[in-house]
Amino acid sequence: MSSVASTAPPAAPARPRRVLTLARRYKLESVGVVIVAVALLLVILGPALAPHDPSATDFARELQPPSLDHPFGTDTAGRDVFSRVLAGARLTLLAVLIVIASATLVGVALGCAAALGPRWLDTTLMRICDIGLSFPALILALGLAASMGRGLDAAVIALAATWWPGYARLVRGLVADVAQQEYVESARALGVSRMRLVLRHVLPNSLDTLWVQTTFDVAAVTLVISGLSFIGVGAQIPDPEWGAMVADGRQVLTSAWWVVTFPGLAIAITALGFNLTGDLLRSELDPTVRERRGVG
Amino acid sequence: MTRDPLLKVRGLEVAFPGQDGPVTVVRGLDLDIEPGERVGLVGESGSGKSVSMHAILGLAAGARVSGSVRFDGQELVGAPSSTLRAVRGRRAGLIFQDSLSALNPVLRVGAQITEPLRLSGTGKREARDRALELLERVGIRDATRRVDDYPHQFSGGMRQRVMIAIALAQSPELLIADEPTTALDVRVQRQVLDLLLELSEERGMSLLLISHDLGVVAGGTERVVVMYAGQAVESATAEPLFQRPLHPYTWGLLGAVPQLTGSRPERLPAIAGRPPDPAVPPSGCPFHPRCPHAQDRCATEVPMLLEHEPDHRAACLRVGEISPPALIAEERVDA
Repeated sequence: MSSVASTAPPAAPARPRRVLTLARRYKLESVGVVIVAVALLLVILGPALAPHDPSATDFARELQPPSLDHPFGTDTAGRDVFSRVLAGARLTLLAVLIVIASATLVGVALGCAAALGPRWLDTTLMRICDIGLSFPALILALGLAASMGRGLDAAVIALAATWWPGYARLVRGLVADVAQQEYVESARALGVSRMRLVLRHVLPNSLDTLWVQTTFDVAAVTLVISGLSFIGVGAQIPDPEWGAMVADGRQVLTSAWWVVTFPGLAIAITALGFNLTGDLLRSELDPTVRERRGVG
Repeated sequence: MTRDPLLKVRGLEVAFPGQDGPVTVVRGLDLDIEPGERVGLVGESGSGKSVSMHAILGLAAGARVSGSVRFDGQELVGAPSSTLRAVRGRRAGLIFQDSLSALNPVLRVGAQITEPLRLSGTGKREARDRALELLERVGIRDATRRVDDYPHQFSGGMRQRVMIAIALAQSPELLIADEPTTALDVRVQRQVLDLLLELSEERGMSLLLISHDLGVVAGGTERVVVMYAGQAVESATAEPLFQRPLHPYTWGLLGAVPQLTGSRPERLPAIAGRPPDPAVPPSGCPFHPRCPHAQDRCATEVPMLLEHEPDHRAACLRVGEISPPALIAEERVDA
């Protein structure tokens, strides 16, 4: 390792220092980054870390308060809440990430088509977006999910279908702006093909703003997905999904606070973490802020 | 049998849609560039220099282009985009004025040099070696290290050199340099110009140097075309153009070049008035409202670009009747 460091160009050691500088500049936001890191780690490791089987019922030990064996207590069917919160990270966040990823993909494709394609296509796509955006996403997703039958899959599809217009609108604006930049024309003057212009020159220069938006949206979609499960159109109860767990525990809220509290906290902290990370990305990637600071 | 010029522009017109109908910014430009020839295209800002050069390569977005542009015999006006792409970069390169905005900020300069090469099938290693070689050729020291830098890490002059390296990557036969030195300070201007001229010479590459500054094109170009209001008003080999300019507009431009030798005028003489609004072009000779020698007929008759001396054309009705002010008559060429 040390031999690698000594032969590396002088720019290399600056990286860890830069992370420290950033952490010092954004103290609160760094907490958000840590939360996001933990959350993503749990998506990978959550079920493996769970001390008990998250869906194993044990009616002899239902509604036990937090103890050493069950740090978050047990729920109405005697399932270990701690294990369920850990395992739920994968279920909830994976669902959220699928929603965001598909909405972003569709939004980027349609946004680019609208910005660079013929006028009529632009008008058509943007009017469709207008219609989509004029409904509250939660209500539209609720209707869609309910019509497809219960289950997390339905909720994910419904949300992805309602979430893309925001991205299409955003990407269209970004791409239309970047496409006018001189470096795009200069790449065109080099004989670069249209497709490649978009993928290599236009899109990468629009991504900053898109990243900020997706980060904020992870927080928003986490809340909506849990909300759908809470209402009952999303994940159903043996599944360790955070929203469904809150719904399950609400009848026993007065006698067994832990059943609702811990998955509820998981939702809140995750949303907070992604929002704080979004703040950090925005202040770092926003061109006006970046320019003021100068480039290091 | 005379060989066709490399670039042959005839009656090029470029119009943009405006509020009250199309606005024609280039009106009937003729231009020839021979293989290996260095041509200067000079005119005020807004005279249509850049637009016409972009139109030549089909890069004038949103414009209606008519006339004829033949590159090595191949018609480019109205050509399908595949034809245009085959010419752009590979056969005719373009260098922009502002190197900071003309380089992609998120790509390393090496990637920007190799991109067109990789597109035409050059291997990765080979392309990188070529990028290094080009960077060194355009005078970037420590090229092996700088090839992985981003554009913002270069100074203005160095960035312009990077642009030149990118344009050279595909060894084009023609390099169009659109105000390549305008954003640079004077000393660096000279270096970049010298580099362009050198490269043109050593590669036998035609060079079209666009500038609003006659001083920039004075040293090194073989022929100069002066543009005004979207037309060529004078065109000649460099020496006669600087020694015996025929068009009053050229006189005005020459008067506006600061001189280091001789008596220093109180103020640099300026051409009175402003370039015409392309939406409402003047009748007759486009220059007549600003021309100190204008007569009544200049407002009604449109002058043609005529050959008054061998290989020296001017579009002025009064050629031969009027002579340049004293300032010009003296020895003016420092090239």
